[in-house]
Amino acid sequence: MLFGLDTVSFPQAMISRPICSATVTGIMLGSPVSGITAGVVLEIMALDTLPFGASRYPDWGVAGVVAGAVASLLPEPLTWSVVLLTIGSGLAAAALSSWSMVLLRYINVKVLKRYSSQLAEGQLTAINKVHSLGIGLDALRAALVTAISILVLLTLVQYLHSFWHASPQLTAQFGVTVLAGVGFAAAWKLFRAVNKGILFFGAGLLAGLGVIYLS
Amino acid sequence: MTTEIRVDKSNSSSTVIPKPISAYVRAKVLCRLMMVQGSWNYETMLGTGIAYAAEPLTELVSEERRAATRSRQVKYFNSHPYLAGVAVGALARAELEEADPARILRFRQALTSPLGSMGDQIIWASWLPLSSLIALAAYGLGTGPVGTVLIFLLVYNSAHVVMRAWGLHIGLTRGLQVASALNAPILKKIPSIVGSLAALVAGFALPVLAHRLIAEHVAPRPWMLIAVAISAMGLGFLQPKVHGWQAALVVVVVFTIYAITL
Repeated sequence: MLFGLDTVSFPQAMISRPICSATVTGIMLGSPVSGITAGVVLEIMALDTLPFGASRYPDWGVAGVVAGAVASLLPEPLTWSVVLLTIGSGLAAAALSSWSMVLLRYINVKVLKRYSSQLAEGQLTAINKVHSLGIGLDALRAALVTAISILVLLTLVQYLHSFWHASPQLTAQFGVTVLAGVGFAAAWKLFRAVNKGILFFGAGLLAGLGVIYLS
Repeated sequence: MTTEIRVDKSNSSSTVIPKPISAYVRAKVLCRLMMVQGSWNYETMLGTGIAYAAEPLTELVSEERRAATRSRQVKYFNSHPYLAGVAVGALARAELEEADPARILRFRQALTSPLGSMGDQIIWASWLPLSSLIALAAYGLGTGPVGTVLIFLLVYNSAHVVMRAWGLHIGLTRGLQVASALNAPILKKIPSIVGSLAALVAGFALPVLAHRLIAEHVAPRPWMLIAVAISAMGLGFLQPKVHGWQAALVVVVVFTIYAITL
């Protein structure tokens, strides 16, 4: 619930980002490695989606918790088929939760209209009611969407996992390709917006490859 | 500890010198600013959130003006949440100075766009990706789960908290003259500096992260490189119509169907 609240309402300290929410979920469920793996892969997906103002964006708080739970609750070891199913369930939860955030914003309009005359008069109680109701409803939304997503997606993922016939090598190659493709696209978006960004990216890339070579 | 608000009489239409604002009141406002988006909606957007956050300051406004102040505060307003403090501070100071209500409303309207775009550029488009990439790089270099989370939260929130506190301070100090502070050249340079740093860290983080994730489980194939290049370029051109996560969801679903029907 707190991770869901953090996305918009409180405190926007980015504990809702998958790298945090999925990892903490994994730690709480006793599988920190599964949690951080889910968090890292979803964080790559989240890199190019930024919560700009009134735009519709995925709710990574709920997504991170769902992905962290799915990765942690599936049987060990953490194979690439589990990682792929974790990505799928996290992204599905992000989309579902994004829709619920839009719905909440319309509900907030209705609440606002109910108290419009009191607000126009500058009544403090109306301000407090509208605001605390908004936060309360957001907490409820986050809790409900998280619970429903975990219940439905975990059952679905367990079922799909038992019928997974693609070879582990192909599954891993596909997973790495998807992550690298999305990651480089997000990086491109970043350095395209910056003067001489490609040079900075290239310098970083050389340093990264150098570290790998030396290790 | 109290900080006195100095009134610039040459530039202000106000006639009242407000009482000093205690650190306690500032801290209360800062705490409330953390939930400024709690009642975000498509009609007044941040309006009620601004009124809620400003309440400890509104209580200092003269009693006969207080209700009118609140009714002005709940009106439409939007900004980046971390910079909402600029508006809360500046508007509260204007109310405390008993500035002309029409001028306050005009000022409020004028503040919406700059605070939104500045925050989006500095935080969402630059600092957040940089913080994520630093944490991803740390993980790629072998940092454990707890360490990775701590690195991300500490890096990100160092700027987050400073920005919120700075915003409130500058708003309370400058009042209706806050525009000059927002036009400071350094603020315009920050997105470009942080963006360059983010591009550098992105270049570093992606290979080290891939190296750790792949470990010994994946034998790289030439088709993977080609697919990565095509998908990265394709997504680069399709943005912002199609985001990476949306494309990833589609291909993961397709591959899952393939994997279970083999």
